[in-house]
Amino acid sequence: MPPAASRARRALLLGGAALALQPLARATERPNTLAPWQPARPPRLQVVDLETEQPRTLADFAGHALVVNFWASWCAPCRAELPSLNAAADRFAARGLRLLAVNHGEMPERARRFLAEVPIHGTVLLDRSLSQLPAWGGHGLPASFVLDRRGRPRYRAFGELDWLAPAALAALEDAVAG
Amino acid sequence: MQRRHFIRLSTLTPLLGAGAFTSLAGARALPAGADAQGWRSYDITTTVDLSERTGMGRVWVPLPAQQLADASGAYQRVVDTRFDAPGAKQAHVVTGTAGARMLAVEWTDANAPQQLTLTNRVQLRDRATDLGASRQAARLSAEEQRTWLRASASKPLDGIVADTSRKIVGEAGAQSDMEKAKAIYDWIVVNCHREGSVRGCGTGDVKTVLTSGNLGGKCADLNGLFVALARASGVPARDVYGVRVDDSAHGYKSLGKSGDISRAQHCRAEFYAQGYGWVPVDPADVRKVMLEEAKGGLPATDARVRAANAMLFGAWEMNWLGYNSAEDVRLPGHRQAAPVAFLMYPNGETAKGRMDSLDAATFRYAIQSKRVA
Repeated sequence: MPPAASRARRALLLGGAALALQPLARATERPNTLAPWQPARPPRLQVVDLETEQPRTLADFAGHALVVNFWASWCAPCRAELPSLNAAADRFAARGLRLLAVNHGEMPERARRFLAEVPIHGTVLLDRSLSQLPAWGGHGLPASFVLDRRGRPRYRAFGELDWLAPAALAALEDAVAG
Repeated sequence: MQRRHFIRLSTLTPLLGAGAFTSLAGARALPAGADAQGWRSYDITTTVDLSERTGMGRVWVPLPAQQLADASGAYQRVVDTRFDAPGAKQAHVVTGTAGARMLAVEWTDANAPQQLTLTNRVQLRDRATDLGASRQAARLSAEEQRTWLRASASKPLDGIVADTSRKIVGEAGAQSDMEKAKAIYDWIVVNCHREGSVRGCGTGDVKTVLTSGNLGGKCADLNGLFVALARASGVPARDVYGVRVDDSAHGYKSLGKSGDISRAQHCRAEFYAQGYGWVPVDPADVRKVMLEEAKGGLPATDARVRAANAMLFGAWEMNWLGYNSAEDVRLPGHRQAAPVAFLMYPNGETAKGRMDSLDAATFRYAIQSKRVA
């Protein structure tokens, strides 16, 4: 991971538009931080599995704590957080945590080319409609959402995270225990 | 099933006339150079070869506006449009939202190539408004006034957009349309910046630009912001979405592209000033010169930046063609109900989903520009 000061300068990318990390008037929480997440409605996921090309929903992962991470190959902050995100997913995998990496709007060929270079330790899903990120309340990339093993929304983060930082590990611990 | 299309559309305007077409065809052998009226001709060829071949493949390719004109006369006209879509079930020109023209093609045979070749011959000449003296330009109709003062999904005119516009215009003491537009143009050049990490031309989401805290973006963001701020101040304004087709004759390597123009899409802006008509501007390109013209960037005081700044309030070098000014464009027949913010790139979908318009290599489209006269 880059040093914190460098991370703080990184852009949060919105479908092509760069958003500075501070101040984000539209966001109610600080960027680059896992914050408690209480959506008005339970989140729904309508995506396609990159590997099987089959539709997937949250029901397919019932019983698992989840990190739903929205990313794209062109998003530098997404790439930057992947090493720590992969490491965190590995660390909690035995306790039921699953990483759902939702590609935002790209075609399978592009996603596969990226994954050949930068592996993701989770299930890679495609949202070619570009509809899921805004439906989950995201307005830039990367965006991450944590649900506990009962499927309850717990935390969300906009922008690149250090997933091995104590606060992030505590949040994941909370999710797998939930 | 209609297996093959080779359709030539006669798009000659009354202004041009059939006789002019004959002379244009003959001009192909002439040495390159603008004609006596400043017109230059280009063949713009878009090729599509869908990489993801399924039993349902559709594309929507933007077509150049048939004619663009201001109070000084025409500065863009389409001479000819030809396309060939072998194996297509249907291929036709559609006029959609706000007059946006597009070629819509559909293939249904997954086992046959799904290819398109589209060539537009266009004539372009530089555009400039004499800002020195107000003239008797035609007045904008009430309907056009409403259209180009209207909010859109990407250009809300309330909240932070209204507040920012009011602040800019108020601090400048601007009263007339021209003064308001100049104040907004100057504010964007001074306060906004081109953000190289933004994908494509940006999203054109002006509220996000204003709330992001860094006022960064690309042409759809920055010129879109100009349009929104102008509208919020009561000045009719619109983006013109298009593509660069030639190098800049003014020597700016950052403001031109010839040959492979697959990624040269560019959005400009214009506003309507009483007495002047539609006035071209391009504050985003001033910031492009500052970021890209020289390694390490150029300060606002650099002569090249000052020249671009002066030129791009009131003039467009027409090494670029305009497609349309439509916002929130519905693509006829698209399975996805939501409109696209603007139509500047080829769009497509297959049975497996939407194609990524900004990824020409994976979508598999290319756009070539060739100067023909």
